[in-house]
Amino acid sequence: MEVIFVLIGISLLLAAGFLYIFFRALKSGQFDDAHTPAIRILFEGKGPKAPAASEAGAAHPTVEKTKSNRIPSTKHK
Amino acid sequence: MSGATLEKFSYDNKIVKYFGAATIFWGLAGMLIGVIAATQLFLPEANLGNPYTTFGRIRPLHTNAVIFAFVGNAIFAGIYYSMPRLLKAPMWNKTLSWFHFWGWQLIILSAVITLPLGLTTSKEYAELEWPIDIAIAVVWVAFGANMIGTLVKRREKHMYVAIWFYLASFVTVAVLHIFNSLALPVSFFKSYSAYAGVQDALVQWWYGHNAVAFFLTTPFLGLMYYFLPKAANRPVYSYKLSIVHFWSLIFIYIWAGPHHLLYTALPEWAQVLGVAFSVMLIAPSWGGMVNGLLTYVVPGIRSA
Repeated sequence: MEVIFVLIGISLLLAAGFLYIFFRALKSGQFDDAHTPAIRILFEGKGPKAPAASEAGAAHPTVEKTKSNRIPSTKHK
Repeated sequence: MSGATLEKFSYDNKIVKYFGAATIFWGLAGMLIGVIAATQLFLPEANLGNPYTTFGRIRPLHTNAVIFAFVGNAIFAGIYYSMPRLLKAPMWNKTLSWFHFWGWQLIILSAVITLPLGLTTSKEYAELEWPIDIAIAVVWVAFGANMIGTLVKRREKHMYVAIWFYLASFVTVAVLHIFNSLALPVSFFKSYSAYAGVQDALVQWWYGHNAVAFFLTTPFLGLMYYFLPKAANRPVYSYKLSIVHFWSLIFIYIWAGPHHLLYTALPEWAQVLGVAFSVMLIAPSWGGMVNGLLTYVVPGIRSA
């Protein structure tokens, strides 16, 4: 049953990789806001900062190239 | 707004339509083949009297067509639609998108040709011979590179939970496919598995179980978290639960494979370990199910 060491090795490596990504995401504040992201996806293409979202605008959004125009981030600092 | 340069970008809906059309086409084809295979169970004459359409050859054709062609194309259609919208950025590389589309259809076509000819590794859900396995790995990695490129170029800081499901599916399926398909080719259409006996069985079901997990389950949980709130026009029941059950699913799912080998030559402790993890899986799998159902059926109730 030597193969079990191979499988456990691969699975542990994979899990360790996911764990690393999890802690990185946690530290960068990805999970700080567990409420508004769920609501924000419903307003795609018609957010307050998106310029005049017409029907056509929703399919071909025009985004202003400034930092302030970014979709509100979840990180409030 | 005056004076600021306007940056224009558009979503690539064409690739979504192509994947969508392929989903319908392969769905119909795969299910029709399934009906023929099922008919042979009570009417053996339905094998049409030639080796190419006998049960043993078209049953894997049916499962491959439904899983990798029908469900696969549906996943890609959903991801190519939702990912740019969630990340507020077009897919990273259009050429890669089309390479992914046509590459995947060619792989399916090669399955349609080789499986009825009896060319098979005999590994369930991994029947395709080694040259096709290599093609699958290349196209799959192209798909993943396209997703990661989009992620890097994103305009939205937060990664919505669906994105996590897509990425985990890509990474895990890549690992499973590569390690389960390791084989020694003896000719262009014949290879022998790198593992033997019960060890081969264990690797096979480590793959087989997790192919169901990371090809049939996690991509669709991701799609559910995007399309269900959109369709219902209300946020998912609990975003917090979606994050918690995602991470627990990712860490537990991959250990449950041995439950496909109960009462076999597999050492009992390995069987018991697999079963223990399978029982633990109830929590994260019900987490996703409950979250989807409550989004849909209980509009008045909001989680804390």
